[in-house]
Amino acid sequence: MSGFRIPERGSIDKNSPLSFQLDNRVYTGFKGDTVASALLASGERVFGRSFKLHRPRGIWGMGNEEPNIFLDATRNGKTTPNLRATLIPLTDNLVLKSSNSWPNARKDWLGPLDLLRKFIPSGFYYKTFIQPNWLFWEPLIRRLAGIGHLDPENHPMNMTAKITHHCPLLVVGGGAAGLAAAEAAADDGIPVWLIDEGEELGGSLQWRGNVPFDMPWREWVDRVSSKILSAGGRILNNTVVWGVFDHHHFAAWEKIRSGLDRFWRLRSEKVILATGAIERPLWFINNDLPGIMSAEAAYHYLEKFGVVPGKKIVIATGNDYSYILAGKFVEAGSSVTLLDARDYPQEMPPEGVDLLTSEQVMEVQGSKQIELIKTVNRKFEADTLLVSGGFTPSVHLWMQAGGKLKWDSKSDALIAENNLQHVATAGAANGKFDFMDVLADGYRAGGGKNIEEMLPGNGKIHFLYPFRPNRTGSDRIWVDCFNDVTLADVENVFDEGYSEVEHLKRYTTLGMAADQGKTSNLAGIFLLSDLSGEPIEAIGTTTFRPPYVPIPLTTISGQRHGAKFNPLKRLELEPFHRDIGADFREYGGWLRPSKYVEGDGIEAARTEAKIAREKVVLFDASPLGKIEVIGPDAGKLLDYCFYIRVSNLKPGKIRYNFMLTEGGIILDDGIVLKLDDNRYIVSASSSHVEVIRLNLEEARQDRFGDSILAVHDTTHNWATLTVAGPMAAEVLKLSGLPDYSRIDAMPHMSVIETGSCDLHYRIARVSFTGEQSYEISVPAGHVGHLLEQVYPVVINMGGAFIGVEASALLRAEKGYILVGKDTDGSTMPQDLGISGPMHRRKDEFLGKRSLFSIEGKRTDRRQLVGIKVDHDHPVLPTGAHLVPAKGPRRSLGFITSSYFSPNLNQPIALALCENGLARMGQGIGIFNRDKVHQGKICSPCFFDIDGERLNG
Amino acid sequence: MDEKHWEWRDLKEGVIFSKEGFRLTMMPPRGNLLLSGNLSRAFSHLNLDVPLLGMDGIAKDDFALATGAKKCLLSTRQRIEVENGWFEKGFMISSADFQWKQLHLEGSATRMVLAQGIMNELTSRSCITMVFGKVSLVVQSESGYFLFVESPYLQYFIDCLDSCDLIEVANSPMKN
Repeated sequence: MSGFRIPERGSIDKNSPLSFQLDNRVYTGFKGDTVASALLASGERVFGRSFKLHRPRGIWGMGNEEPNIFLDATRNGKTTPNLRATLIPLTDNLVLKSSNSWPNARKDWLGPLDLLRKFIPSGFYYKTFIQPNWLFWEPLIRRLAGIGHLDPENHPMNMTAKITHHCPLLVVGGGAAGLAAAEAAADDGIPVWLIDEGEELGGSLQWRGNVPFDMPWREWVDRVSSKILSAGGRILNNTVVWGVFDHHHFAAWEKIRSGLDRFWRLRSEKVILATGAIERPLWFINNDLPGIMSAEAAYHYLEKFGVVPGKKIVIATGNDYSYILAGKFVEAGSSVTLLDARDYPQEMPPEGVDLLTSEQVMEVQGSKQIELIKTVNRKFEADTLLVSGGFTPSVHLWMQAGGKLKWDSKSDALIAENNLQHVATAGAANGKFDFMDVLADGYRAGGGKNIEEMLPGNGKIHFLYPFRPNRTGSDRIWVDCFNDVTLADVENVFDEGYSEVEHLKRYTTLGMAADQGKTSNLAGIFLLSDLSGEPIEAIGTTTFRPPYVPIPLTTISGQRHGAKFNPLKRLELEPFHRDIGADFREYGGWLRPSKYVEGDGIEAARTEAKIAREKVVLFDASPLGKIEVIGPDAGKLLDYCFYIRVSNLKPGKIRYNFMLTEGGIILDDGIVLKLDDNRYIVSASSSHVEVIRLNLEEARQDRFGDSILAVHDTTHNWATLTVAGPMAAEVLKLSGLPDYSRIDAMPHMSVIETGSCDLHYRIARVSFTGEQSYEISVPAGHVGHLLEQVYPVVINMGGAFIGVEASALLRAEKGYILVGKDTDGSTMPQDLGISGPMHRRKDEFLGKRSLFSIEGKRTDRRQLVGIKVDHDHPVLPTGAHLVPAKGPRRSLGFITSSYFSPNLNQPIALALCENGLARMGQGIGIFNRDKVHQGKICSPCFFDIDGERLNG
Repeated sequence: MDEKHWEWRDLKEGVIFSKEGFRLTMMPPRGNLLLSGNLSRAFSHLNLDVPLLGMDGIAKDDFALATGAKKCLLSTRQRIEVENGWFEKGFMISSADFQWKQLHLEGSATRMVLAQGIMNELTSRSCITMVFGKVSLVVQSESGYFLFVESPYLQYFIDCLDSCDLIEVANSPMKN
């Protein structure tokens, strides 16, 4: 054991030594150590370098507040970057690399950067690296700064379970206050969930060893644990609540060493935040030197791990809580001098401790670690300086929950204003630092009764010295060690006009990133208060945002990766499509065949489109909507919801239609099938089924509430195969479909239902390709049978299945739009040349008023047109701007769809063009990447303009 | 995303997988009808005496699950052949036999599995809600839960259920 280990102290397993490496140097520790405790026990001090100036840094804290030592940890050949040394459990053969250093933290070649600190204050980057541009400098800056290094070989398993839980009471923090709150609630039979980030419950009891209720603290912890479990509650150790989100959602990350982590999404009727407090640093020259630590952290290392941080210790404090630990270090064999800023301390110094009152540290000196401490009047040689500048309640979660803060001069801290109905703070998080006060506060928060009798208190009033950073303009006093922000930085940016706390944060980075201001936030506020002359409560705080601690992204993603990241609907016939060589892509939330022909996708689509025009093709149109609207008022509902009336359709007929938004914008196009007077099918486009159903349902409830009327979405109950092409009718004839005579007699835009109860067919003669076309729908479970009927016939005729890409090409040849592609958020029906209904209809319909608004009547609206270019011209780029063929260049619109038509043997394009319908036959420029192509505006319908094939 | 290599599982009736504490079974196809309007008249018309599940009641044999005001999904062991559309007695019927796939979740970890899929706190034994982000119907059975998932999402649901953490300690988002 090194001279910094105290054999008789600590609760680690000293019979189980472990070895590990940091920067290629071998260290030893014991089972139960953290990396921080094992490194401290080595007697060395420099384990990292600062983020910006590469100053040597040592361990400051004991947990999530550690601002200095971030390490890349390699286990089993895989590296995880940026872990706080204080939070890494020691395991055998752990290989660590310090951050921001090369080749190592002890000798960092970029250490001399510190000498240039006067020239690189906050804001330096913004002012300096604008010439020639930031991208020029970025690679260099990234190499110099940044924290750890990502391991490209480390692919964590995205298997974190995300578990939702609801409980009556959630207590965050398993220290004295949290335990007291949980015990009080469990006594009332409330199933409490108690969450603590440590391996073991108890918080500071683990090193302070207070005696609650005249019993050893471990006994009390056991008692509370038993009560919680008996009441049906649960205790989660190693779990950190890292964020509070809308609807009272508390996010907790449970770290499980031997298995997969868990992400708990907790919602509770009441939440008690007993999150403790973080010890504040002090502000003096070189206050970041290795060997300067939080006094409480040092106490924690002594009692939990049996480690003393040094042999000659000076403790700088202004409160009573440091006195007890001074005595403990004397017991452990160190010499201790206690510097108390107060004139009249309330406690007597422990035996063996030299107490000096009215003393504050002004400066420390040392090359890579503390060697000399200076006060106003004295100098001390020391190897360790423990500081206690007061305590900052951990109110991050409180603020994330929407809570406000108030300044409490008694605790010299910002504490919760307790303005939330379902969330409360307790203990140190509530500005209570005396153990008896903490216990009482916890019991009160948990609903405990007779608190005054049970916990009468010790009558002590603790005076905390209100330390403040003095305005010295020093660039060697650090207010944020994590982000390398000095006191001079804050003063400078204030002088530059950044006088608001949020501006200060952003300009200097104070309190940003992984640190979240745990040790620095108050210093910034104090300084701003001093600089501006405003009281602290008027300065306010920056916004604390989740996550409270860094968490792995895999914790958030959980199992949502791969096919589970963006779940797509799968076709009933997907295995068949795969068997015949389909390539799949996402279209409107469905995984659909994009093409079947091998090779290049564009060529494949052209090949398939030619088959459709020359022979016959099959297309899996199952995703098309099948929303049934049923009841005597079904026609009225649809008339209201659609642009073109449908109630006047005859049964068995179909009408193409639009649904508009209230703003008159085209939301979707599709067809409405009238099966009988009381039953319609709305065939919405595949990606809009849900929004159309919602609109129909909303209108039903709002306007037809008393009607006998139903909207049933049966889309997934059906599968649809479309037979299209010049031979389509022949296919249906040879496929053995029932009732062929009726099918044969079907005119375009009609529908029949046929078959038996066992196999029901709904056949619609409707076309999205411009060819004679039949959409045959059957209950999804029977689509295999339908396939057996039609597929062999299609193949025998030289036909094939086509994918979505070919379908899109075919419809573009006909000028049929895809809503959202050939329309945008301003397109109204009149922009497509369909203005009849808006003028003819006297009744009310969705979006009507907007069609006649000033916007709707503008003469320069962008309207759908076709664009023709020479046969040998390359395909026009989709998205290219339309510009006047002559004269000054300005955008008249843009290309929405563009293809090479294999059937016309020329490029074709659809576009939205300003006043396009009036420009028919005119030349137009197509501007793309500094080049203007020449084209001509034409009708959007390029193929079979008279519709002979459609009706053939 | 590499959609070309998305796994497709051939799923048949029966046990899909069985793990310690959790077994997932694909149920045989049932008869499903969407009913709206006067539900009691609709049940009479269909000559059925089924419980309308919601706050209470456990699914056995044939049952109806309330999915909204005057709306339900009627699920029966056998398909019901009935004319679809509007009935003068004030109800509407649509066949939806293939709209849903029915899974049965059972075992001691079932509640934990549901807690991984359902974010909201449910006060009913049976309800229509979001499970793994998709609208589904959760119906308590005598030995577990029926989960009705929209057919095109079946593969997704199997993947999700297969990758759940099977710890057995959580309470349930469902009423006990």
